[in-house]
Amino acid sequence: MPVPLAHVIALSAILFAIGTVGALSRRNLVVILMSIELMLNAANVAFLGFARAWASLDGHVMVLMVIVVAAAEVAVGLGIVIALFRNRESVDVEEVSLLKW
Amino acid sequence: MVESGTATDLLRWIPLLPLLGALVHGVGLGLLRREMARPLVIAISCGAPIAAFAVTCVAFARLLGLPGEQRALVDSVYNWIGSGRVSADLAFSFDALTAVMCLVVTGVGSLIHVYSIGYMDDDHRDDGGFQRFFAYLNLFLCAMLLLVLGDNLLVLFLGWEGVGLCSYLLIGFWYGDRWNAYCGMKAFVVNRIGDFGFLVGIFLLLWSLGDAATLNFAELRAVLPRIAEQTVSVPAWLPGGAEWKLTTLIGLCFFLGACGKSAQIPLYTWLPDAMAGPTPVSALIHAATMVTAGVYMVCRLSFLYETAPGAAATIAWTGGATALFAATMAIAQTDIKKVLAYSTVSQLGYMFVAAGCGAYSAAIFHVGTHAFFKALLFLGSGAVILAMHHEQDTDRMGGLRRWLPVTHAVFLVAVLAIAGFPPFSGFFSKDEVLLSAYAAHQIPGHQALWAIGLVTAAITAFYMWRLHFRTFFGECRADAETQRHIHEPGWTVLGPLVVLAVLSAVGGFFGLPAIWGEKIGLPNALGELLHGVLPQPEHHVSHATEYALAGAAIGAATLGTLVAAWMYVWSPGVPAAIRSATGALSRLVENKYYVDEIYDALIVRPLVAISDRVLFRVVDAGVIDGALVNGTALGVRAFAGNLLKYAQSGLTQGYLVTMVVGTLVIVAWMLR
Amino acid sequence: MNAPQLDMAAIAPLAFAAFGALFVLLGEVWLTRRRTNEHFINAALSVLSISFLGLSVYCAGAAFSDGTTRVFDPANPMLSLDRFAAYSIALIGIASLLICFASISYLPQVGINHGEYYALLLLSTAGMFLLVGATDLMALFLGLELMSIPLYVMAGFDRRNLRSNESAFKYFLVGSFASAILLYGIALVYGVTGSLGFDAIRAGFPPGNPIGIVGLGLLVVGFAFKVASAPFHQWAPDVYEGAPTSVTAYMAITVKVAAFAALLRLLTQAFGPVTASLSDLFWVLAALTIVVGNVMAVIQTNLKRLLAYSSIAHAGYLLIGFATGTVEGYGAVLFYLLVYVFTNLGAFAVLMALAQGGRDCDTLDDLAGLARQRPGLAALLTLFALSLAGIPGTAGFVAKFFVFESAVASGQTVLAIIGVLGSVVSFYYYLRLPVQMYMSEAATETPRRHAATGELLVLAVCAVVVLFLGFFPSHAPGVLGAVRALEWARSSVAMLY
Repeated sequence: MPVPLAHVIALSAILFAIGTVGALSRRNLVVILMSIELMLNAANVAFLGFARAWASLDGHVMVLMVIVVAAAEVAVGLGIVIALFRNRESVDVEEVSLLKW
Repeated sequence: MVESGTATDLLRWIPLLPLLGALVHGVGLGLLRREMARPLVIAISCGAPIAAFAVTCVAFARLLGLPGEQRALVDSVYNWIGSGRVSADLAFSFDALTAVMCLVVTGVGSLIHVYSIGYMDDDHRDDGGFQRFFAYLNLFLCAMLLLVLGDNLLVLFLGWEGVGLCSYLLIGFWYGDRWNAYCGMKAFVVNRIGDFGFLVGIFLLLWSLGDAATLNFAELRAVLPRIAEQTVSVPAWLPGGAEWKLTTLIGLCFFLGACGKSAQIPLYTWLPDAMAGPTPVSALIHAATMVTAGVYMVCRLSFLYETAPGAAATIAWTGGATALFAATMAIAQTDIKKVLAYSTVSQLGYMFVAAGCGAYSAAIFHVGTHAFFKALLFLGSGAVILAMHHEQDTDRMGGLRRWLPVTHAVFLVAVLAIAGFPPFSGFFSKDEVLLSAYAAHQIPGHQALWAIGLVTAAITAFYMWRLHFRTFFGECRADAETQRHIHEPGWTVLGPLVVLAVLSAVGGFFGLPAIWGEKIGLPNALGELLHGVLPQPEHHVSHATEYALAGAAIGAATLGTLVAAWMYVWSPGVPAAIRSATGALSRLVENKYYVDEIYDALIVRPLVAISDRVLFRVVDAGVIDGALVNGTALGVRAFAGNLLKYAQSGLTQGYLVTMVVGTLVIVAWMLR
Repeated sequence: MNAPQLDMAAIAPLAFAAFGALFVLLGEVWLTRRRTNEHFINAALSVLSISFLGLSVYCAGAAFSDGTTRVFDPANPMLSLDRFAAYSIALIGIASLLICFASISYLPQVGINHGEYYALLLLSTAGMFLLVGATDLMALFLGLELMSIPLYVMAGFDRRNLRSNESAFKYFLVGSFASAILLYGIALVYGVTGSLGFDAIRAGFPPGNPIGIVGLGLLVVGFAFKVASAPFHQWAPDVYEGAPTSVTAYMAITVKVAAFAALLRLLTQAFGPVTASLSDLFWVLAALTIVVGNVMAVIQTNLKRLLAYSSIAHAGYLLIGFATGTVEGYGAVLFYLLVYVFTNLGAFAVLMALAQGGRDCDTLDDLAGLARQRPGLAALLTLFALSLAGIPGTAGFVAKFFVFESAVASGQTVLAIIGVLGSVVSFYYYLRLPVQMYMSEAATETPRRHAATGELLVLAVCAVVVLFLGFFPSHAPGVLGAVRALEWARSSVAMLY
């Protein structure tokens, strides 16, 4: 029995919400990165659900594209976090607040 | 298109010549990195305005040659802004109103340029200060000419901002002093409040005219009747009820712009501070030309104000209030230029009284005569300041007529003119203004307005004579070293003074009111010239009343003069000096010494105290400057500094929270 | 199956930029083996980038004057080079090219002359080219990411500098968060229309469907972040302040052009039928952005931060055009972008020319006494500040006038008044630049370096354009008669309908 579309979308919305809350509340830079990845993957789940509902290939292609983009984004993100870590010896997001006002 | 005048290529040269002067100076300074040869600088910088004056005269002659109905020259250079709905040419038009303004600007401007040669001569700064000064001055003249020549609101606005910018550069010219920089900035920022009104006026005009939107004055005049009867709803607590005439709202917006430029309540505070600039700048910008731009604009938009009685009444009463208020502030000032600054604000008030009462040609008449005598006063005070080695405080002057006979004489002419003694120019123009207020039945409380004008005239006479006596009469209060070096300045300074003195003396005869003109067979040349351009008020005043009004004005001036004489000449008890000064008259008064005391205690001291303690320190420095100008800035800073600043905490997750909340609000709002 | 008929000319600008990036990377390796002079390598790579960007701009210019719409793959339209794309590409390309010129001397001055800089810049530019030409949400997302990811690196290019690190980190975090929101919006729009192509969305977007509306809302939020519209603006001041000046200039200028252009195309081509309902939303965003940008700029003492808030305020003025929703309004937006590019680039180029000895010129105090030491730079910065403020006679005034006038014409008078009020406030802080330069003395008399040729070239171009557009926005005289900037902007927008 195929999973109903509503369930897929609900899953994706829940994943997106978890990712958002994680990005807002965690203090560790790496966990925040992971949360953002979760948000992107929530979108992927939605794409796949809709692609099946519309019987269209565009959604699948889009998901492949997003996976590639997300990989690139994470690579750059980790690079930035490492540069930050080298200079500060910390991955606490609240310490990164030199620039303000 | 409305047929607006005879086409010519002449007009563009009037602003272009000073612009070329400024460009040559700027490029020269930039490339050479030092000052060009002095004679060359002088030739360029004074040649440009004089040439512009010559071109203006040619254009004026051509204008007079045209038949009365089509008296305008038009020079459209190119289509500046063509955005489809609204199109504005960089175009100049030269009608009688522009002609008068142009002649005053280039004429008085040329004299002040010549004067500046002598005045700025000691500015031997290594960075080409002398040349930089003239570059700004020429640039200012160009902007001012754009302002008066522009045939649409955008060109006027180009000039309007240009003069503001140059004025800011020139006020802060001697920037060694941080105070000067602050004053320059204050002038510019206060002016921007006015410009806000101006721009909103433009956009309201464009909005209300719809498909007929235009910025060209001639076209505006033609299409304005379409919106003359429209109303807009405004908050009910505003005077005049919840429905305003649209033209009243637009007119008030433009008047806010005029208030900023022409230093009217509540935006006048920048003008006294603007005295930080060199004295020729004060004479050119803050007396003769730029500050009259607001009056010019109101006259230029007279067709708008004719349909907006509420706006016109506001103008008249704001002018009246400013005239009286500024005059009382001038009483207690000891800085020679501050007195003149408040006096300028007060005289500008007179002009707005006339413009608000519908007597636009009287306003322009007073613009002209005021340009002569106030420029003379400033330049004269500049000569004094130069002679006293940059001393501006009258507490350290006195008795200067001994060393500066020519300066004293011309200053005397100017004082007589501004105080309103016949037959000097100020008498006739002030008389016209007062008459227009007295006869303006459409203005609520017009007779009270006239009375205010009359009282102001008395106060004006008082503080001007006070200034004159304290500067040129009595004992010199400067130290001996300074006294030894006091001498009359050179011919480049004195020449313009003498010319302006002649103009101040006889300037009134250009626009002699009919009751005087008939006596000596001289027509009211200015009135006839402006007749086709500006609406004329319909006076219903008998000749007898006119004579009575004139008599009252002379009486007020005499009263002010006598009080000043009592205060500053007869009572200090320096018999020898005073006897030689006023002869028999002083001996007559010497026996009535106690009268002076009573006068002093009852009238003058309280007046000075009110002027200094209440008006200057509390109202001006406290309420207007403190609350209105600095308060706004402070409010913005506090809002930004305390509320918004802490939102910008530097914590990235805080930004994310704002984003999420913003997103939720937007999505919820879209789903509603 | 037939081989697809591909129109290579449609991707020419994009291809030149992308290949340029590869050549720069290879060139750096090749050059560092043979030469040891870092300055020479830096200059050579810059010239290489400039030539590739020049080719891109040339292609865009040719496509613009040609006026026809070229679609890369007509069977599956995702990317096209039409008049609108050509206008935006030319604008972005010229801005990037000029920044490369100015970078030749700037990078060695602050000690970050590494070859990747130009490669990243070209890649990001390629992303922008893709973004403004995209007619499909997939291409749009790809373009957006290709634009953003190199920028995250560039913001942190001064690796040893904590502020630069922080700038990169913040930009990355907030940027990828916004990308995720945008992507989710795309997913929802795809869900209600079953397609990612603009034409199909236009035909199939159900006006009342809540999922579709949420999707559209998330898309708008994603772009509001990219253009730094309040309340999605908070990252911008921090990021702009921390990044090296040339990167700040690049971010503030080209990203804004690309994002506004893409949003414009999205709203007209994909969501044309429902755009009118967004008018109120843009009204609020515009008003809020104008107020926040201008008010916050008043209290700044750091120049880059001040320019960041100023660019937020300008985003607000630009959003006024979106609130009108008319062709005139959008045309005014495109014209405003043209003016914005050259005015801001000029201002940033002056700051770049003042950087020396490993440190940026980025506080107001750094400008003290500049008029005496470098009168030319002081005069130019004054000109650009006045244009940003919108003094008549400069391009800034004309651009603002068109935007406000289009708002008035569409009945948004109150918004126009808010805009005017904002620009009145803006005079206060823009004026502090000339006050500092002309009316205060430098604290220390460290001799300032002379501006390099590349910087002078950029400054000259910007100054000429700012003055030229100030006086000839719609028609130019004489031999320049073909220059009709306003008409170009208008016709580019009209083509989208």
